[in-house]
Amino acid sequence: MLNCIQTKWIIVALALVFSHCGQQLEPQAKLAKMQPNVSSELAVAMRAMDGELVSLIARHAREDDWGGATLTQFDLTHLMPTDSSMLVDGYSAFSIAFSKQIDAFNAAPSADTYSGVVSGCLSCHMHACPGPLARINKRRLNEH
Amino acid sequence: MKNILQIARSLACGAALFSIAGCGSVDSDAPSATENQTFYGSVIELGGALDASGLRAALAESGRAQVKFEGEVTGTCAKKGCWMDVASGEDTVFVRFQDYGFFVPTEGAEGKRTVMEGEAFFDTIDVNMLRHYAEDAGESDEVIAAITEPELRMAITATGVMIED
Repeated sequence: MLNCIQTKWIIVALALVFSHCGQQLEPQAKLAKMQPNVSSELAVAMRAMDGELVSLIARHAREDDWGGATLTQFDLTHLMPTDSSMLVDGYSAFSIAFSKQIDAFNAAPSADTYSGVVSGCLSCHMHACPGPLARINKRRLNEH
Repeated sequence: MKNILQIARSLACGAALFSIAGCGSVDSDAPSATENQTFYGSVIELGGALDASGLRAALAESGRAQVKFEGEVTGTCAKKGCWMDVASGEDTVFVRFQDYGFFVPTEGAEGKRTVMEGEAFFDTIDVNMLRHYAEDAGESDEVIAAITEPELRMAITATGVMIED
């Protein structure tokens, strides 16, 4: 038979083991994807463009040199939007104007041509899909 | 008998070390939650959330406040999931997400309990935006055309949201 001391040690051991098991069984928080819904071609392109602007701003913060910087030219008139309502009157004109801003930046990357690109984003989103305006405003150089 | 005592002591010491190591691994990046809770944007602590009357009180001083707010989802943006309406008492709070950086489900969230953290403020939403949000919500042309006045709402820009199934 176990004596009193042995019994106490076994109780302590079992208590520690079970208290630890209790911690492990507690479920961890479930974090959903940032984009839990289906993304359209246009939305994916917009996010890619935003990523490029973020990289350029980070580079500009490190060095005041735009040499060799480029932005991807997406054909925004042919990418499928989330919804037809986003193709507002003038969408094609905004897309063509934006494409020219990208061309201007790629031909001569500078703070001015970069700002032209961001202005192009803002102009279109003021009409078509105002949700991201606050985000786009943070891509302006004077915000950094 | 002596052996049993040694085994028990070893077991206790081992378990103690195991427990200490285990405690260290429960870090703040992965807080616990119940299985029916899904977080969007970031995982937030759920304690201390205000209801609408608490939110009004928090906004009374300066019109802006960093808060946690709790209510029931009454609608989400049906197109992208980029906003949601959250009801509490008589009030409905308009919730958008920090920097358009994360979204919630476009459908299936209505009627569910939600807690969010972020900056609360009063927002006047102009007619164009109200019509845009109504269109997002799938309202009919008649409903959209009937929107002719701006609306003052309590709003939150959330950095993290929990929706409970």
